[in-house]
Amino acid sequence: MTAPLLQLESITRSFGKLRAVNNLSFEMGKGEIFGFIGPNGAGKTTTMRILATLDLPDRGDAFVEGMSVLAEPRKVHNRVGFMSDRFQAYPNLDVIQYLDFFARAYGLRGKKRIATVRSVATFCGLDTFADRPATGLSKGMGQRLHLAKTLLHDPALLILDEPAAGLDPHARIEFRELLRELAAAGKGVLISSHILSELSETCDGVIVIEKGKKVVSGKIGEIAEGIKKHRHVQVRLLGDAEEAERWFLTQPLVTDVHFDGVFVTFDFQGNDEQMAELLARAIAAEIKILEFRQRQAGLEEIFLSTTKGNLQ
Amino acid sequence: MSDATVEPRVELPDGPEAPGPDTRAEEQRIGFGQSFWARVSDRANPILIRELHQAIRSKTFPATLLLSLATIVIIALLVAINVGRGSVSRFGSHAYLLAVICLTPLVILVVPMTALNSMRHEVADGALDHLFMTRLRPGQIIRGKVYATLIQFVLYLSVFAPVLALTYLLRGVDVPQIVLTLVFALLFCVAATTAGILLGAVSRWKSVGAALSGLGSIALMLTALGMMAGAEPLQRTLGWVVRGHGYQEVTALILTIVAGTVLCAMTAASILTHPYENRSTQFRVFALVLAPVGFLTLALCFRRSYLSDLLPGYSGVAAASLVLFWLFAATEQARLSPRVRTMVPKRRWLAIASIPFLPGSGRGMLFLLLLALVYMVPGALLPFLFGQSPDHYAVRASTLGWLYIIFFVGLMSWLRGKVPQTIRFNWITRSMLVVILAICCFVPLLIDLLARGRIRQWNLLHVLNPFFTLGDLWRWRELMTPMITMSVLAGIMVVLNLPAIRAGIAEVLAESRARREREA
Repeated sequence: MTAPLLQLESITRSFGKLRAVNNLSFEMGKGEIFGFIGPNGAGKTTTMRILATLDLPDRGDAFVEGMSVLAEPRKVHNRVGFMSDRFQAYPNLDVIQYLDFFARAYGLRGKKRIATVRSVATFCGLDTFADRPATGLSKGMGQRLHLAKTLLHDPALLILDEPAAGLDPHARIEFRELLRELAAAGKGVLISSHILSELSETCDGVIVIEKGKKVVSGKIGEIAEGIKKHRHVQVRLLGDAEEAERWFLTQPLVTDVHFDGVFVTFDFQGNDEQMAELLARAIAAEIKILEFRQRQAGLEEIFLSTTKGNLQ
Repeated sequence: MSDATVEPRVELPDGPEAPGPDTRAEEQRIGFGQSFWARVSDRANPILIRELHQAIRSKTFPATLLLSLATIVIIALLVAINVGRGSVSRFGSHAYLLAVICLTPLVILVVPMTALNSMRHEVADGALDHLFMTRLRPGQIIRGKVYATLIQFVLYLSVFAPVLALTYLLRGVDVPQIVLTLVFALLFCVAATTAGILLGAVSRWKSVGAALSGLGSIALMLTALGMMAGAEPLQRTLGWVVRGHGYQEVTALILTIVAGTVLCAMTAASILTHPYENRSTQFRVFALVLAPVGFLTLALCFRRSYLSDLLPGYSGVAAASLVLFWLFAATEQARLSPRVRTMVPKRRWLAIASIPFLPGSGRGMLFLLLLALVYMVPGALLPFLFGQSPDHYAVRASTLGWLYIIFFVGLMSWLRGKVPQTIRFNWITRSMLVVILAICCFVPLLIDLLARGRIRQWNLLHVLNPFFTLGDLWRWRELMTPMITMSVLAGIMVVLNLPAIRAGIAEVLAESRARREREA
């Protein structure tokens, strides 16, 4: 049986009396993008630093492709690329010199090093900026350089701490595309961000933590199903919306009906079959329906309903 | 490259392919020249390559180089103007002195300050985290910076080489003196640079880092100024050494500088390393290695008649000068950290041998006792090997020094076991030593003052005051009473620490056994 790409086993890390990470466990596989979300001070960065072997847990262990971050940190280094939330390029180096330095530091040699630096720079769209000073790049290009540095040793797992912070929408979309390409190439990506809409479009799954503890984890759709006690339905109508609103109010299992100017919305507490029956009844009652849909809970809703926003 | 299994890559409709381990197509496009230089430079430390790239593009390095060239031209012009107005050799020696004065701030101040700033930026910008994710270790990072120093030193030297050659041609100085000056310049440059790197690393401690770093910079500046001001007497001393005098002192000085440099580098590496990593073993090995190196140097460099004093004296000096080693070793957290646990040797005999060198306060106390033996026994017995009987007083004084160390460090180790096992309490316990020493020194003095109205001379109340005891009794050569008292007190401390020592040994053996079982 092959080991999962990333496996955390009861990681605990305290700073004095503060328990930054508390008995945290989860797994992720190759080619998956997982969002790692939680309020400020929830322990995201500490966890990521432990996975990157930059910090050590008081208890528990984490494994990257079966390699322990405690026992085999050097093997883990070969498999992990960590993009921290702090990035400051070295002064008096151009982009290629900067990447070349890190390629040397990762142990790449000779032609392989030159070729890797070129190919990573091209992939990250830095080839046209090769001679620019590394400190003179825009925020977006700086993040690309940071990502390029992280990719040099071809890691199987990318750990990205707030990579999109401070990027404009255009740069953010480009960055998202890069991540998708990397996931398509088989790399696992664990990404933390406060821009939840961004994550929901990129991630296959999420891990939500608060006060160092895992609150919920899994595929976004599955979590959304799990946390919703009732379905939220939107109906777009042709004709008199007020009459339809009154009709829906009389139906069983329907609550909280209101018209927002475009849609009649209501909460439905039944199952799929009962919802299909409701739709059939509405058509039989000659309500002219253009659109009838169940609204999916987004990452923001998951985050708000699972966390209390408590700071440590 | 990663040896991880990577899924087949997916061709994307837009943009380049995601980077993977296969870069053969790109490699084929690389020309012979570029490939050759890539292979040649592969052997160099990556930090060295980066520092050189940075230095070439920076403003400081070319500016100081140009300034040095201008200085050389001025010196040459001064010599040219004055030739014919007196003794040629006098101009030679003056020009030589002037060149040395100009070279001094470059090698003692500019180069170390560059290293200090480089390290400080690396710490402040969080760049170290990126480096630690690579294959570079703290030691390699520091070595890379020292190598960059050597290159800068050679470059500055090449600028000054014409003047040095000119001074020789004018017969102001001879070749051995020039060589010795350059050797010392190199030694001081590397030592000051390592100290600069240490001061840069210290800025990691946010509370005191800036102050320490600032003070260190001032110290470097004062050293450079002092050496510039004292260039003439220093050159006279070197001339005296060249004529065959004082080689013992010079050897001792060189060894002290080398040991200090190694110690600075190790301390800097230890500051950069995570507290859970093994930061102890290297220091413990260093302290152990100092014993044979020191004894051997003394035995080889000094006349036999001096050895009866010197060898036991070295043991005593080592006890006092390495007090921080003993203190740090014996006041660490008692248990092995998760990372160090993975480093315990699997083989039983290797695990047993590694016990005194692994971190932990109990093991630290065991290490102290081992070191006391390693220093005291040769100090007392080696003179016999050279046909000398050791000076009894020197042996007693050094033994008494070790007894003080065992007592105070043992007390700290015992106290460490009584407080929470966090890193903060390591430091609290260490700082307690100052308080306890102050109490041991001042309370008896106060009692003397209150009871007798004045402090006349040493009495048993002052036995825990090592400064008074060794200082006062030095004159009277009366060490038996404090020796006996301190032997009892040190013995008590050893007994109090026995449970911790036993636990320290048991932990290592249990971890070694567990590793064997896991692998079986």
